[in-house]
Amino acid sequence: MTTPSAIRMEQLTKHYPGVQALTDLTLDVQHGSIYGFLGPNGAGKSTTLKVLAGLIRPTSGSASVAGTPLAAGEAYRREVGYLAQDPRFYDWMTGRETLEFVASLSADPSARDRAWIAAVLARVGLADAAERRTKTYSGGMRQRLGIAQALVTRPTVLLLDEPVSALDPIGRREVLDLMSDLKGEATVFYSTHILDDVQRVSDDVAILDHGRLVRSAPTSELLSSFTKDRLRVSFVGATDATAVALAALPGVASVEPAERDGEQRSYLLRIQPADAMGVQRAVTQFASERDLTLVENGLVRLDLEDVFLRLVDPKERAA
Amino acid sequence: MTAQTIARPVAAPAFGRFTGLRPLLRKDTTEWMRGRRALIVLVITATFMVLTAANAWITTQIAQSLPPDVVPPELPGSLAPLDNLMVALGSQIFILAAIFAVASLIVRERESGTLAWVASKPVTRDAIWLSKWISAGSILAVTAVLLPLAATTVVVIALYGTFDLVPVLVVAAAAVAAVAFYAALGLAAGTAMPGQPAIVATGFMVFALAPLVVGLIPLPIAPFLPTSILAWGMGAVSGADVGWVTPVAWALWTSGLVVLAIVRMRRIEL
Repeated sequence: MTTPSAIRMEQLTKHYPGVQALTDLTLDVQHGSIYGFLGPNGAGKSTTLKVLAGLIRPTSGSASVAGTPLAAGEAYRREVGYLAQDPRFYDWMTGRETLEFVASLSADPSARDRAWIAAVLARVGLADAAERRTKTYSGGMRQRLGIAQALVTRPTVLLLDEPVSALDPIGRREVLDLMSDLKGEATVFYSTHILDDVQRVSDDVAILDHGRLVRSAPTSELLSSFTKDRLRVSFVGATDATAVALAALPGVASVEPAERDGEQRSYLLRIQPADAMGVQRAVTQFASERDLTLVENGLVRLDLEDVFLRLVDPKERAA
Repeated sequence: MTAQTIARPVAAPAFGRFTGLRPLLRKDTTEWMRGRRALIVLVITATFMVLTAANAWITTQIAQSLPPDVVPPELPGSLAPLDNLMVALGSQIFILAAIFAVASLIVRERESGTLAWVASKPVTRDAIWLSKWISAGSILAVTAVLLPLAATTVVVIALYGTFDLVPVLVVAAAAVAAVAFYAALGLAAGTAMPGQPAIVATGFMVFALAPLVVGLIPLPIAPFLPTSILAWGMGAVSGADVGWVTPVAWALWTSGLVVLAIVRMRRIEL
């Protein structure tokens, strides 16, 4: 018998009158992974997370966490710890009381253990602020309390909606470190539009645009699949005609002039990934035949931002 | 923390329609106790009821202290203790207090996001709403009805003399029932209306329009309205033959409102 996915979504759809917030999202998230859910504003990320948190009902499709279907209601929500985009807690409660309250809603009596609650507070760096009312917390502290309250009931899955978007660099670093720290313990499914962060902490990514899944893959695989289709070459001694000549090389789809630094000119060549080696050899020969000094001839290392833009930006896609 | 510590012991959870009600009740009641709302309700209601009950005595004292050549003001109808207690209850200030006090309970939580936060936990929406109603009803019963009524009773006895306290219990029960109905109404409106003013307006509309509707319709519908429960209690105390239609109608209307609110609560998209 195979272990069910941590999160499974099948043709998950949420339509409002006149708005197709989410359409046919099918996604599997493996246990213990940190899964980045990317998309521009309005792509449907928050809608997906709210459906998964049981806060809004899908128009159609299904979802499950650790094999428990969304339709199971409270039994399903027991498997889930949810952190909203701008988490708010009862401002009359202290940090400790907030966790105690959440733990009291759990069917698991061990979640109410004072030592456990103290350990969770210490883990998110709020031990010293545990007796302070949450209304005195900064944005970063609220976010960390949000992660703590999501963790305190030991859920299978943590759903974090834009957990770092509103934080300053220090707060962002703290929360990302915390998320990295959870790897292997709980499955973290989080939405964001900060691509640097995803590249840093996520094992897998899914990219959503206009409510539809554009691509999902392990982060490294996604990056490498795009890395092999762009070559950067630089020559000393190139002329205006060099770009045209490069475009005529076999395997080169297009040439885009890049920087010019004195005598040195650089070009970005779009190629078929399968032809990468062949094109690199052709470029070497090209330089030799034209008496150019070849300074650079390598595959471009794309970051997630480039990949993201190429997947969701119509201009980039057209290019 | 290690993976071992986070592994959840498998408990057999019993999920039912009211899962989470007890901890939610504890939370909601604590919120009432720590906030100023209950105290404000108590101070306003008690002050208003005590002054209303003392009005006849104060007016009489003023009249007696006037010089003989001054025409005294019109004296209130009665100096009987129970009559003045009924006047204080008849002001229905506790109903107005209840309307205001519950108006923000759901709306504020929807706006701040705490309702969504709680609803994402393993609790039912039924339990969330019921907890608010039970806690609000209980706290308001004490702070808007029982304590002000006790204070008023003490003042009435001090100013007008002793009287049989059994009727007070009957009217107190009716007043508590009225508060429970208006609390249910306000919280039900909170599941459907976007803002606090609309909810207050709904409460006032029911409070003010019910007697008008009764007056306009040429049928004896008053006993069938939940808003008549206080009048029923006061009528029972005065010895009128009030029957049991009104308490039954109150129970049916209130239950209907609760069911409606819960159904609506389940459908809210947070």
